[in-house]
Amino acid sequence: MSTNSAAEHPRVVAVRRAWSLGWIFASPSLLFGAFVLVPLIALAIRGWQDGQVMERLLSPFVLHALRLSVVTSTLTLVLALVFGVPAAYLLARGRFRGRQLLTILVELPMVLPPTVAGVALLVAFGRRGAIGAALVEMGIEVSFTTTAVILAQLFVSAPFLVRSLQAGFEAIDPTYEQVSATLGVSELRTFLRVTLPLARPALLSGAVLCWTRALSELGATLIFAGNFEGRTQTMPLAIITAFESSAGLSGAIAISLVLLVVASILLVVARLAQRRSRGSS
Amino acid sequence: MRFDTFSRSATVGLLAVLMALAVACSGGAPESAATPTVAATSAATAVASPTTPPLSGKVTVFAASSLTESFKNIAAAFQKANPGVTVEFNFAASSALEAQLKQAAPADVFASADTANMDKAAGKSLIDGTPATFARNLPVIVVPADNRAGIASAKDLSKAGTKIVLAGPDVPIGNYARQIIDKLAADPAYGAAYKDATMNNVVSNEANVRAVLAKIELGEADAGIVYKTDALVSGARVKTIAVPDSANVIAVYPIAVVKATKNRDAAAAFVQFVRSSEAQALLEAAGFDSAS
Repeated sequence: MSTNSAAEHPRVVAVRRAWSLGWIFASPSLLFGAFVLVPLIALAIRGWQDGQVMERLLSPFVLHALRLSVVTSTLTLVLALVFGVPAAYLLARGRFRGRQLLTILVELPMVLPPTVAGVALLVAFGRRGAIGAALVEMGIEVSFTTTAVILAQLFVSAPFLVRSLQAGFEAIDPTYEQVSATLGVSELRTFLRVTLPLARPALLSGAVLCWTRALSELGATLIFAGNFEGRTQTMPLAIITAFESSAGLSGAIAISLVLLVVASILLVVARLAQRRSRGSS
Repeated sequence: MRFDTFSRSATVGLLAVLMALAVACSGGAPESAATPTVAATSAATAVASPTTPPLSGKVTVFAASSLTESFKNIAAAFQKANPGVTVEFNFAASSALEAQLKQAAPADVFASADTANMDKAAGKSLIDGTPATFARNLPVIVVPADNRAGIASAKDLSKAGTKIVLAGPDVPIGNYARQIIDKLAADPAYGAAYKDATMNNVVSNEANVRAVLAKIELGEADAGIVYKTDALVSGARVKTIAVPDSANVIAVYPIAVVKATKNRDAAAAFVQFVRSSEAQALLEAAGFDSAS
């Protein structure tokens, strides 16, 4: 291996191999690309054909849902950052018993159906739930409020941030932090000035995943927070409500288009920001 | 370099294919809805033949959520009489079922909890012939078993701070509930303010009657409006309060064969069976009122 690498760098070999496999890999790739993109393009074209897209989008029903979605998913992201960044760092760098178990627990909401999350949240935070009943004693009712929407989003989306960031932290060579420490810089300062900037690409992609997942959350919200315009009816709930109402498919398509555009913009912005931060580091 | 050229041509090719497919997809929707109609007409001629072979195949029934238990029992009896037929269900709000039918969902029978959604389906030529009424039902107020909010009558729904869950306005039971509240508000004993006060207490518009029932069973909400039959399904988990007769509406359940059915004979037989005395007895046992 080492004698080979002098003549041909492994990466060169890898590229050559990719090229020879090009056509073999191309057909499934093209099919898969079509599978993903055709429905989205069809959605856009159908929305255009239906007309009155702007009228539908500017209806109070859609505007309320859009505002609620933007507000709740942003707050969810903020909460996920506040709780997720320390958690991810601990999971990546901490040396303590049960770290593996915790890592698995963090991943659990990612693989659970959101409806399960909804039922679990209801049982815990509902009026008759273990925590919910205590909260009611204090005069706080969570169910059917915007708070419930945020809790549902946080539950299902925060793990995406933690998981991505944990991997980012783990990929950082600890010697950077050690050097910083030997130079007499405090641990917190090292974390903020060395570790976090190095993990920026992971932080960005994790944040975008978390945000978009929060934006698309449906199952847990529907079960735990209910469905009420302006209060708990986010965009995905508005889509399903429109689809099952007299507005029908046309209404659902119009709102779906908004979410499609918002999600696409988020992804593109994240990619650009990621590239820039990679370039600077 | 060569790889670049390859990937570029692949991307161009992909985009071309995508555009063509997307146009075909979006343009094709109405056509695909029309195709089953052709199959349906040929199946209709088969019905006309005098000798009827034993029924077989699958019958997919789109039925209102409130029919869940009764229709499962009816299907078991139907399958016993017709061993060659398998009955499958899609239970949801009648409004959701109507929306799915409109998208050419594969269904053979549609049973709605109101005439409004059946009429909508009929208006779009989604069903065959005239729908037949097969059951009636009565909306009731349900509260959690412990009734912590102390709801004693329909009047208490307007009490400040009461958390009410209804089904969405297009869902039959949600529509009936709003009619009831309107009727009560028209009664001087309740007063016009009753409507606003009660509607302000609504905290969620649920997808179907069973979702309303679940929130009440759990005690998440203080009161909801469901059918008498749903309250019976919940048993002791909820308490039932009658809606004053003068303000109540009677839910009417129509059933029809879906026009696009691919198993017309079996679908028609199932519809007929639902109207038979055997099925009617099962419905009455569940708390439904007979069709006539």
